[in-house]
Amino acid sequence: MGLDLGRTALQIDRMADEVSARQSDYGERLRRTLDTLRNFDTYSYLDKLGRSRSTLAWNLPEPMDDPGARYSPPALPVDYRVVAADGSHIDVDRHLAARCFLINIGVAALTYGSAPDAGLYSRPRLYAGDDELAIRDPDSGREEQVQGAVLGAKRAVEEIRALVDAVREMPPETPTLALMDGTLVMMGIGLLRYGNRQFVLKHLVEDGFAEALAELREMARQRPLAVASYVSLPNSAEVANATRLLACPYEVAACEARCGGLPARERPCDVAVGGLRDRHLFGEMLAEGERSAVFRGSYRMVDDYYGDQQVCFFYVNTGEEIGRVEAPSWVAEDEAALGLAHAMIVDQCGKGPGYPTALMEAHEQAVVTGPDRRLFAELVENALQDRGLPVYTSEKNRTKRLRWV
Amino acid sequence: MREQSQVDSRLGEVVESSSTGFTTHCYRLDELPPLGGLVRGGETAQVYGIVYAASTRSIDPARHPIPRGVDADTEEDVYRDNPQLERLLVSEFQSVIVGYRLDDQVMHQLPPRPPRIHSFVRECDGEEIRDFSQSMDFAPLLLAASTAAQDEVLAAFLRLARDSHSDPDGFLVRAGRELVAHFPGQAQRLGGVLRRLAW
Repeated sequence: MGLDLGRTALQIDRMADEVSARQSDYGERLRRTLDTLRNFDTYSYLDKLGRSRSTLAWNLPEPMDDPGARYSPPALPVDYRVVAADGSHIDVDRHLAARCFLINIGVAALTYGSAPDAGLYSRPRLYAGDDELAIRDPDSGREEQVQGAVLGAKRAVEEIRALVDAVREMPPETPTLALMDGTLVMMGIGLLRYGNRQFVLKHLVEDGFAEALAELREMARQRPLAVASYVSLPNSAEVANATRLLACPYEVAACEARCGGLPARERPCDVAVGGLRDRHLFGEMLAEGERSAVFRGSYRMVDDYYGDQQVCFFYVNTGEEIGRVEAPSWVAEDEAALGLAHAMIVDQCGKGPGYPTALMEAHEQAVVTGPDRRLFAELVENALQDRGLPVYTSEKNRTKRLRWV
Repeated sequence: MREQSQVDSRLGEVVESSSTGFTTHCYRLDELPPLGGLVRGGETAQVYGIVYAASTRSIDPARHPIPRGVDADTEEDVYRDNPQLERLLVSEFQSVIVGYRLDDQVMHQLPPRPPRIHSFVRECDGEEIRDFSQSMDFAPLLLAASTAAQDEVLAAFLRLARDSHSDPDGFLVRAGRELVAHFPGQAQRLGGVLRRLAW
């Protein structure tokens, strides 16, 4: 039997009613927050942020210029290139006959201008060795299995490494945007921080992702190269939360001490600006093609493992949506590179349409479909059988395949 | 060393093959031979085909092309602004097998074996078309092709063949006489084919 859509639909209706009730004063909060943003007192904000940093419940960004500013994209170069990488994976499956996982990285390199060209390819890699299936702490000998969130992070590392390789192979003269999907901050494995698993973070984030990002920075010193990631329908509220600090009636924002006892949505800052996402604010502020000011994000993961690189972000009206663009600080602080990223992302979303073409094509190269996954499992079983090895799959897995009555 | 012209004249490779026909996947988008064109597949065992159908479509059946040129001045601009299209769309054509080459001789019969998958396919030049069209014995093979437009395809081939002969009118008279035998009791139909050659 499939999902009981009748019963589900009734619950969806009830959910929609609740959402609608919550939205009743949305317009008022939006207007108030936009006012704050347009007349943003950066000096007071940074001053209060400095005083409140240790007691704040929010990760608040630092604006790199006037938070109410809007910028049109600069003109595109005559010839330019976008290189994007994306990945997908087949996780370790204990129902599979062998312990292994697969990462498939897709790359799209699109060149525009006088000599248009496209390179689309994917590189699958199977990991089955003992040293590949776990990350080992060289000091204590402890191990963390590469699966679930850790595999997701490993995939992100492989994506950026593929991007480094792809950019390196390109002729250096053409202005290039190296583009990734999603965030540049490796959030997914953040919880490991609390489990004595720092060696995993060092391996994947410091020696993996951040090091590859630093390699891109080295290349950017030799050639016109911008690096960015694009988040479609961003859910983040860092800028909206920044206005909370200005709405906070206390000298020092000591969230837990002052408001810890209040229910959510009844704290003074909730009443003023709560429930808003950054995309709601910039949806009102930015005209098509325009970007917001750049903000320097505040993330423990970046402070601890990204060396001297920070992650900055801005929002852009692509014509179809408000997208979030993240870029390392060395791009955000370089006007030419920042302009290149802005102009190319707007152009890519126009061509998309709606979403950067290069990212979409990299995703298409990377995607592992349901039938691919079934074939993969069969290939593994067949290869083992060919060598006379015992193939055992769980009874549960067998039942799923046969689906008898 | 392979002659450069041999490489340049390649249209693509055989991706589906049977005793009576083959499908060619073009190397370059939209570089299709004309309907009724004579093509040759294979290097040592050479098989002749006449193109009876062609198509350009998305490589991935689940991804349909969408309009991209609303702001473009020319169709060429659409392709220039979307270089990935060259990799995501594919042009293919189907040929009915109408003969093969045995040593230096053209045989208007089905070959002993179909062309191999990945056989290189080339468009025949005027000289080859002239050689091939010395007789119309291939007509039954062409008329067995599973297309509703057999007569159109035959007329298109005859037009190309006519242009390859030094005496085009003489060729057409000869071809017409020979074809009568392949259209028994269908004088009207043959007349229709020949009338298509009036231009």
